[in-house]
Amino acid sequence: MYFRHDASEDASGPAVGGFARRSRHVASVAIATFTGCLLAGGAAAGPVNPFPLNINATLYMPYIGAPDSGPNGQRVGGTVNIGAIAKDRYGIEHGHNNVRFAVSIDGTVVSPILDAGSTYNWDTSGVSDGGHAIGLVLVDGDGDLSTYRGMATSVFVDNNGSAPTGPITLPTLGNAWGSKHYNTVADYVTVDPTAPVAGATPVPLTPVFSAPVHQQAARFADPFDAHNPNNWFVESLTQSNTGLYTGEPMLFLNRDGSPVIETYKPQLIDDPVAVQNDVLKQPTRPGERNDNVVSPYATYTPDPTGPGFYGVDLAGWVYHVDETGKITTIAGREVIPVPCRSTTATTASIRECWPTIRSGGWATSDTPPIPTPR
Amino acid sequence: MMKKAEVPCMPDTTHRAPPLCNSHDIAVDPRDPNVLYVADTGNHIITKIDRNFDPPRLSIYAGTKQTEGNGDGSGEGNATFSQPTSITMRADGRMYVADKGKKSIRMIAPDGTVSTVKTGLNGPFAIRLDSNDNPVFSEVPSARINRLDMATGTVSELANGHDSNWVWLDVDRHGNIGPVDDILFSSSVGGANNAHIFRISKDGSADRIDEFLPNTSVQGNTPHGPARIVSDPYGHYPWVLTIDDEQSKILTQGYGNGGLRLLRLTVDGDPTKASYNHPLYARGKSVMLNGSAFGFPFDARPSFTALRSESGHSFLGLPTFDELAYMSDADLAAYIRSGFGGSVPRPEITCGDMDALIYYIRVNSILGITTEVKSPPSSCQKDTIVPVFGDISYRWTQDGFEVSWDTDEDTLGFIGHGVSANLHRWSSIENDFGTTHVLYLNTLGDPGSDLFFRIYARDRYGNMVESDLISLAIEAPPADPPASGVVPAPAASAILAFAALSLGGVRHRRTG
Repeated sequence: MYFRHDASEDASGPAVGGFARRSRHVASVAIATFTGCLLAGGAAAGPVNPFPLNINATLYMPYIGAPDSGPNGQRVGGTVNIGAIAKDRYGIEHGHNNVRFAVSIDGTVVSPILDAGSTYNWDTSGVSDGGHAIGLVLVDGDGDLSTYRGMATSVFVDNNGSAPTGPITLPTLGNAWGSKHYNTVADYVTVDPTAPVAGATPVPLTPVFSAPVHQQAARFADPFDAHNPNNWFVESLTQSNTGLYTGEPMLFLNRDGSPVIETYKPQLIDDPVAVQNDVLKQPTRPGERNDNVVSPYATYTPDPTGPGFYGVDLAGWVYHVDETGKITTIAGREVIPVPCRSTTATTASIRECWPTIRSGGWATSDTPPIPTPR
Repeated sequence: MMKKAEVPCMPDTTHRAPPLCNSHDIAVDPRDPNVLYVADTGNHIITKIDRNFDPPRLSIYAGTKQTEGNGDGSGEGNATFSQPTSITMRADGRMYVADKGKKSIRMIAPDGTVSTVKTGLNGPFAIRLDSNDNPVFSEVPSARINRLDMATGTVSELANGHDSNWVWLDVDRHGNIGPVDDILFSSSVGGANNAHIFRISKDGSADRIDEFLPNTSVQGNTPHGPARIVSDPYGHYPWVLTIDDEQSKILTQGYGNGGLRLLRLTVDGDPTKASYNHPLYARGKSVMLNGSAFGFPFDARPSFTALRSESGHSFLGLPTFDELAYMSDADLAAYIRSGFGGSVPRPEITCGDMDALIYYIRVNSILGITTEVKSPPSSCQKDTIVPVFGDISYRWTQDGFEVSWDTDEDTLGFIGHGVSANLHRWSSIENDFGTTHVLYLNTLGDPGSDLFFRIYARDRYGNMVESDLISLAIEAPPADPPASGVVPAPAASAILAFAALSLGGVRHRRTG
């Protein structure tokens, strides 16, 4: 038997493993909307969640479909009220006869089975400050909303109002809200915010990229031999984050080693203004090969001073690509301004993810930064 | 007539510099490589980035910000563009602009004065220069490839393809790829399975329009290798290609493929085979995705992709594939089994699964570019003997539905269960191999409803076995703690209260 969550893969997915494949049950009503809320509340000590949080995801049974929004990255503290309601594809809310749920923290179910529409108070003082995963486990119910999976999200617990000291744990949940390839089971990475990023510096790259490849005339008497695919080689100059559709960790480390929580970045959005402003919300990130993320919506021109290229993406990020695949920001917008909440453990603060103007400014701006001649 | 842009670009919420908006193209000033220009399409201007300052100084080189028009001249308020999508600059500083919105080719003189070179076009999109400094440009949506002869002012159509909203091109003006002034282009026509790069001669002769490199079936996650084998090297939906100015290299990037692919002529020592065809690759990818043994249920373990994506990033500070690839087989296997940098051990990944994952990691690393990755020698003895179940028993307890079983050799397993014979839930996976096994099921349905389950077990060599399907009615757990010695210690995840359950319990024993 081969287990899958993705209904779309039923027809084409391979029969693998040691068991004969068997068709999987799919409930008669295949889509439900599952909405939950994280609300400030309770009298427990410590800061409370300063913002109401809404979980509003479309649940494609038997896996979780594309999200409308999610609370990933929210800083919480004190008592967090976790609730959920269930809606069908028509937006009609259903009571507990159709869907019930239980709350899990870090993969462990901590609540009783709750009726849809009810809530559970999570006392965050029972866990350490740092990243934690909240899961909503959908419970089999009667009717046509038989479900078996839940959803999960990452929050950052801060009960002391100060930066945590020493190592903290970060859930590795990707955008489980919208991914068919990323599961919802919690895993953790333990990081020390004060320590350098382990693995941030790749091993020295072999000189394959810097080896000059001469003009075809030096190799082929017939210049059209250069058009023979047998004479060409394809290099992955940069490893992509192939999770452009399927996500990346909600929490990752800054270059200084501080963890950052970010929200899911859907790639495709319908609103034209948002498209203009967010340019499909592609994440971008400079860094070494295998550590950078380059928007696929970019164009390039050769660097006349060396073997690299200059690039610009639709979001206005201008960068340089060297022969080792290293990406260096030059100007423009470095981070796509998704409407996210970002918390760094070193500052324990919440800030909106406004675009980062890496360098430079408009000469015509009212308050341009003053450039310094080299 | 100038028109204010209807959709403003990124609002200046910080009262700082509005960023580039919908910027489509970039060019280097041949007179000063520290100066870059950007076709700031959404702002309807050409932006200059002067890296002679620190930080680089951004300024409007030509056009009027967020104001559409076709005005010639110089200075803001006079010169205007309408969605300038592409730029290219001659050695003397003259810049040509594909002014898509006004369907014209514009020119910016070295002193910044804008003039209109050609109008009435279909929709100039990507523009480059041939070796005679004549602009070669694509048009959308007609997908035409044209050359503008600056001496005569005439436009020659070199190719006319299928309609497309995106046709990008470059001109091999140095002969780095083939004959001088061959044109390489790609088009979004064909959608996700179109990974073609097309070549057209400088005169557009029909018999020389060909497919520069073929498109075959998609195989790799981050393809690299001989181009005759590697498929989809440009990303599905081809987006951009750029010919290097000195070497036989083409930079490519496409929709849906966040990575940059560099096509270059082969050099001595290149791997001759694409590793994606190896059967270990697909298996390794499955293990990477599932975070567990091949064939074990997805979501029973955290996916390894949550730690590193599919391509080995270090967002969480973990070693990348480029680093892991150079570890010894034994060290890498131990690292993976201990959790791959995460907190969840994966003892079930053994033998062929481990070999496959190690292979996958290495292929998708720089090691896979520079060498032909060999499949690691398996440390496992070949064993095809399928384990056999001994007794299987189950009962309702306060800690959940307890299932215990024996196997005739060391195995590691889990339980698939559901409300019908189509089992679509599963228990946790056991923590280690052994011959005696106990697992608990929780968050089941209401008393009286059906429960179906089956046990799956796997030995160290990957031989797997499943029990008969067992079905029964869900019962309530005992209200009081069961008699001492009957129930093992509860699983850590068995905190869920069975609020609706009541006294009762059955004990069945059967042989699988």
